[in-house]
Amino acid sequence: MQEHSAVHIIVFVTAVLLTGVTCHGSPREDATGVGVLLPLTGDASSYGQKGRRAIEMAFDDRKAQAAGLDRKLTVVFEDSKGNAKDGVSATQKLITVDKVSAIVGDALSAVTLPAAAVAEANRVVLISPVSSAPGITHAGKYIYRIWPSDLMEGKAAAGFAVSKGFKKAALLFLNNDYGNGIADIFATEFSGSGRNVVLKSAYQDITTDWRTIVTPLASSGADVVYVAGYYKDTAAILRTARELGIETQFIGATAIEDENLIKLAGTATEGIVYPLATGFDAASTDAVSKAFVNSFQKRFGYQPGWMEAHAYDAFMLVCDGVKSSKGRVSGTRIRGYLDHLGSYHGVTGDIKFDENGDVIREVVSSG
Amino acid sequence: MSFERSFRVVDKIGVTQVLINSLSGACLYLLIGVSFWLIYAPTKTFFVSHAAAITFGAYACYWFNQYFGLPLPTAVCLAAIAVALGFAAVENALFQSLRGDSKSWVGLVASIGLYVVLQNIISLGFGDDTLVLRQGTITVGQKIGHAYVTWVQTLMIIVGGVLFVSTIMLLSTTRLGRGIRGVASNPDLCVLLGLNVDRITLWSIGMGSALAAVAGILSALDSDMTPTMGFRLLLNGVIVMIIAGAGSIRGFAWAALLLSMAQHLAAYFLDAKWMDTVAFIILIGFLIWKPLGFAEQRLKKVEL
Amino acid sequence: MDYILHLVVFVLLYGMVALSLNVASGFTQLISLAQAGFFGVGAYTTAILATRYGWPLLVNLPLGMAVAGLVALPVALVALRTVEDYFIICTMGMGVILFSVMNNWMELTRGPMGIPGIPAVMLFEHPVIAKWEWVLLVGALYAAVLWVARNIKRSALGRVLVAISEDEIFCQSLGKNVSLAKVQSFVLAAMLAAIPGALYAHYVTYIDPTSFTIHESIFILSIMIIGGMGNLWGSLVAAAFMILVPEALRFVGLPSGIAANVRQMLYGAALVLVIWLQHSKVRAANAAVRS
Repeated sequence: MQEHSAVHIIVFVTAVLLTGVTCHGSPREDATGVGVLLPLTGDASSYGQKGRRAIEMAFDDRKAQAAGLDRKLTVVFEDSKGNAKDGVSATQKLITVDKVSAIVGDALSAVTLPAAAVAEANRVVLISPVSSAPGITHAGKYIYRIWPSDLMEGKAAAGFAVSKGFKKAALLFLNNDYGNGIADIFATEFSGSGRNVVLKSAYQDITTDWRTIVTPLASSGADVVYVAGYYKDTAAILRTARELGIETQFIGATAIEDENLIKLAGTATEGIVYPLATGFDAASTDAVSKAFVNSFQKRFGYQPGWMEAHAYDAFMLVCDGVKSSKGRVSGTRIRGYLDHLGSYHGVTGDIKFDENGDVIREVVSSG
Repeated sequence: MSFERSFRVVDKIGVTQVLINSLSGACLYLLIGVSFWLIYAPTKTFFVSHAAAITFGAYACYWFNQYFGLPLPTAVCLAAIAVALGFAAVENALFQSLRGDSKSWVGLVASIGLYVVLQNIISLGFGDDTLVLRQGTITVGQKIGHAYVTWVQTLMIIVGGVLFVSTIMLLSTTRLGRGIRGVASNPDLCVLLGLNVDRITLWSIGMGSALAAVAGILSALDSDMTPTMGFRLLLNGVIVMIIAGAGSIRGFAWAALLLSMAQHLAAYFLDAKWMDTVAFIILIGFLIWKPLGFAEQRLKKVEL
Repeated sequence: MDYILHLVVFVLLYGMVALSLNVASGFTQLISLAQAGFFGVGAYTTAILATRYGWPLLVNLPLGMAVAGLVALPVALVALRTVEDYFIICTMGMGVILFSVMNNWMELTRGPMGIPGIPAVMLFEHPVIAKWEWVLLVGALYAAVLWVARNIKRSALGRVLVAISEDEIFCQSLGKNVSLAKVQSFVLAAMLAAIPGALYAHYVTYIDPTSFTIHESIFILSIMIIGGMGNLWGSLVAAAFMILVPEALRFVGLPSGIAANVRQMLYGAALVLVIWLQHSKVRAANAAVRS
């Protein structure tokens, strides 16, 4: 009995799928779809949701500027759940069923990489707002990203530490591709000429007990601590360090810029320095930036951060690509637009692509 | 595998801190282990959904504290009661509806489904972002010797200890407590003796859930809260129970201490990322070497 | 339709893993939560060999199976000293340790950074790229795994395994080597799990440890349970269910903010429901027997 009902459910579900898939059909000649792949659930969902909000607003902004657009633009959101398997399924669906010509996503490099393979094979543009893995540089001709590779960030942080005369560094990093990536580069850049890394410790993102991670700092003799992680864990580390009476200079990763950092760590954030690989500064006086920050604040009730800003820019870039395509919109046309883009002035500053589709950006430090 | 720090100089600062950290961590694990036992013992089912009780406790407290503006102690009590009532109802219902099945995994797997549903309810209600229970400035802890103790750590040690002792006393002196122990060891006999096994089970689940809620709140005060925080904390509690042996909770204190110290020492001498692995290696070690745990109590007919 | 074919590939892949779990746990009803680890061993073996040395699938696949089998042997010997609930916990611990190795042994697996750029499978000089080609390849291997599983079920080993689920002690008293049977089935299952693992690596072209966590093991377990333990065809049906339903829900218009959470809730609820339904059947059967 149970098997039969299961079979019935399968048949029903397959019917739904087939209907959904075929009724979607091809978009009309004058309509074009842009796909958005983000981790809307799962461990990275806070980033996914931020990106989603920014893109929703970008979409509405575009509609408001519809005068410049001679075709209808639709956007389709898909959830990658923060893992490769679902990311690939979602990408496949966006390409085959929704027939998008470009995809904005993912936030996590672990999803962006396999999704890129699918996009590349289907000649669909994929532009990641924030993925930083070095591997993405060579992921394909249709693959772009507007966040600099880890290499740049790690170098900038190390450069800062060296310039301030620190000799002994402690490295605390999140045990994922981002943390490992920038920590390794920091270590390589920092070591040498009498400087060395005295402590290199990885932590899991599901850690609940931060004292175990912070305790060795006191006895390591380090004069500077580089924390390579996101704002949640960096905040926890800062807080715990303060409670344990540790007064060393902390350097953070770009990813920690978020007003929640202060909410979570309070006064413990004083003194921390981190490179702004983003180019997005909420306090910037640049007109485009300010307009974005203000309207975002008005619509969602909080100040946007780097995730929102980058998602916004990535989406706008794609829209520009769509707009510029004469005739039928296709991934190849959008790619052509991006390759020949001189410079785009977005809310995250000026965006220029190199021959691999990586963004060229200057890294500044912020405290 | 390369160990980046091959030799760590043992120094006074580090060791004292590790000891203190182990102690507060142990008290948290102890609390979770005991709370889990209260549910496992009468039902003999591994309720994975207990992890949700931990999470719900923290979030309920947050809710009462932030949205209703109630002072923290009141919020804690309300949260514990709310979780106790809610989870007693739900888990008991699940247990009763799945009774009579000779296969033990049925309850476990069903409780996994329940956990997924409950965890997503929290995500829907509060978002997947990290939240913080504490307010106010971050202060340096109290210095003891060369190490620092935060007020939350002190709280964890006191609360954990008090609740543990109270539970032992409850189990040995009160009628309900004896009933729980009876059902834990032989439910059929209890029925014959005229005990209301179902009522006792319900109470036990409720108490276990309340303790879990408190544990969740303590953890939230110590670090922060996410909708998935309960799962990992629960695993530690389960390991404590297995090491100590599910026969009685008296051995739990040693088990919790052992587990916590092993983890903290591993983190100190090796790397923090090995903490979970260490916990499971200990678990497996005990499962092979001392399958009946510290207490060496016979809990199932495992061999002829 | 590429998207549908893509889903078919995933259904077949996970159907295979569920079949392997059936061999380990379905007959004996000793639930293992380590299967995702062996799935991962197969995937990593092929990924490392293909990206570093360019070895073909024909070589990597058997090697992956061998490695999985070798890893499974000590796991089996250790875990099978425990019973029932504790066996589940023990295998869960093993799964965590396998994941830890994948995640922390940087020199071998690149840890959390994963292994990107896994090349396409070459069959007779032809790269398997098109979706329908993949369906054929995976389908063929699925048939092979199914054949093996069926033969195990019908063999003497299979009968001993089922007997274990009924009454292990009685079985032992009949002179059957119960421990050997359990170890055999566990190791065989691990080897079978390595097959879809290798295919998965080539199909997705990027693997990292997060595809092989405890949560994956729970997912695979759910497939086996919903399909019915020991029910080989049921595993395929259940895999289809577990993979297609969340995908179908993409088409139902839920507001994007809550859609994902709601989908997960439905999955959790489905699990509880299926168990409850199965259980009512058992209860009814028991009652019928008693009356």
